[in-house]
Amino acid sequence: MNESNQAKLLDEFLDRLARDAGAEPPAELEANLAEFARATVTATGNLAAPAARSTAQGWQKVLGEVQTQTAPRPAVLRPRRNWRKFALAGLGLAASLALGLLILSALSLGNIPSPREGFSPAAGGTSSLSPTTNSATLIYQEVLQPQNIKADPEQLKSALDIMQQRAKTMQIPGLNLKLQGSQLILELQVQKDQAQQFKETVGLLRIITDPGRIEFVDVGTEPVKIGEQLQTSYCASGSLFEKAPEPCSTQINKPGKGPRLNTAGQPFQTLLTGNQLDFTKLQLATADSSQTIKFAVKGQDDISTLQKYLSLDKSQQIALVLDQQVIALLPPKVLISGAGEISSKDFNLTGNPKLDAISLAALLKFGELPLNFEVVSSRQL
Amino acid sequence: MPDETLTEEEVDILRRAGSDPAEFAPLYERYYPRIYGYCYRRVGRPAEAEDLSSQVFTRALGGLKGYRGGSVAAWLFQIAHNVVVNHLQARQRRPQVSLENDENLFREEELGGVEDGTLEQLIQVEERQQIARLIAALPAEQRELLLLKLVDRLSAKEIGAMLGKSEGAVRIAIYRIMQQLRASYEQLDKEQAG
Repeated sequence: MNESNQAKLLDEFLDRLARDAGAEPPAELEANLAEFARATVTATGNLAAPAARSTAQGWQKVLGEVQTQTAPRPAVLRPRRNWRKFALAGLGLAASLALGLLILSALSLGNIPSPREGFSPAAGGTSSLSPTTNSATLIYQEVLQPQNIKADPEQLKSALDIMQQRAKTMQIPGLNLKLQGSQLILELQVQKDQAQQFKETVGLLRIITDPGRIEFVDVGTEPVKIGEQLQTSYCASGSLFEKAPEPCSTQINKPGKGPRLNTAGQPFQTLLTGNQLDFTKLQLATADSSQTIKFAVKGQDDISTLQKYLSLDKSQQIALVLDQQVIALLPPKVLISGAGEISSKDFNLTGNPKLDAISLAALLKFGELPLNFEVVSSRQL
Repeated sequence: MPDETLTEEEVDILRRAGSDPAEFAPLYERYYPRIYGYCYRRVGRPAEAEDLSSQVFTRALGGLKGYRGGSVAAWLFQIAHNVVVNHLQARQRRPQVSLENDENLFREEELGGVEDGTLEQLIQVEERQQIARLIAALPAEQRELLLLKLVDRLSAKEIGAMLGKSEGAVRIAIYRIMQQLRASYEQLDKEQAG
């Protein structure tokens, strides 16, 4: 019998041995080879990798990856940093329309009655992420993942909690958030006849998922514009009150790239962050057709420290910075007056930069996210 | 031949998974251990093997529309082969696993109890260890081919599809490897007897 036939017989015998260790070899197969083949199968029979069982977690990871990859990538897919213009534009329109509702009463934070743009919550606003939909419903879905791939599950849960609290404060109806593995799924559902509001509300999602680091930054006498990106000292040397956290999500930029350094080539000094603000004194009010937010620096010691620092140079300007972007410029007196109370009456928040008081309140009240997220896919159904 | 044809159940699962990836779960359960085992054997690190296995199933699900029928095992192993090769190329070094060096691959306790065994059992254990050492000494390509057959239990056709060879060529190659192993084993046996 030729080699090809013997090879075929051996192959068949090995297949049978795989199913039945006691299988008999074909009569035509060389007896010595058949015997050796059986011994070899036995010798390799225990070549099992450790911990080779599939797991539900592993499957969820695969499923999450697939959903991410197969999600359509329409025009709404964009880099993380491109959202702000869209969000702020939406916020401007939302804020102006909401004024009619807000003007009627002065409000405390615990009772913010201004639903965004007045559209009614869509069906399933608190249901699972796969609600029954109909042709009159618009669904917008985003998948986000932490920039740190090995994010701690506790941090993920904490981030989700903060986002949910922000969404509640901002009164965004029809919004569901949930974790799927290490990914965060946001689903917004509204009626189609509210398409315009839908677009604006999608913009508001950026506030929900924003890292939300608030910093008061000393910009000295340097000309700084609202909307400008600043490299602050927080991740390098910390603030007046805190050391730089580890890890710190803000990357140190290179000269000439990214957020700007000051004219001395150094990061702008962070005076304080949201950690030094007393949220129990946070208030949102509406008066004279505008919303104002009031908040306060914690403790007299902190206020004294600020006063001491700010008294060094009377020409200083303070920038209110959200995730390295200047959202308002404040005169130093705002930070050193009275009992450390800060009111947005003292700086222009509702005009330019269009981040309204409700959004700022939501960011301040519930603090910074423990993780930074990036949008990996988004789609509108 | 093992896994060479699709069962009706698998056809149904694949059809449903085309519209809903979650339907693929039973095939993930069924094939994960083998795919993981293959990846682990090639890369030698549990964490990497897990990651690569996930990649295999992610690619499989992502490319479901491109699936043209045939054995699910062959399809998955083919993806696994590509994933592992890419991974190893990225590491720019050879696979880390040596059968001689990795106790997980040939666990002595599975080869038989030496202390309490009969003479016949002791001889069997010695025989298995000897064969294991001979397989470990094979050139990497030959060793991998043999283990795809003996450990991963793929058919010659499936291995051929995976490695871009004909079914006949795979059979011949395995036959020659086995002949070579047997000759080496007999030679060692003679030397020990002499």
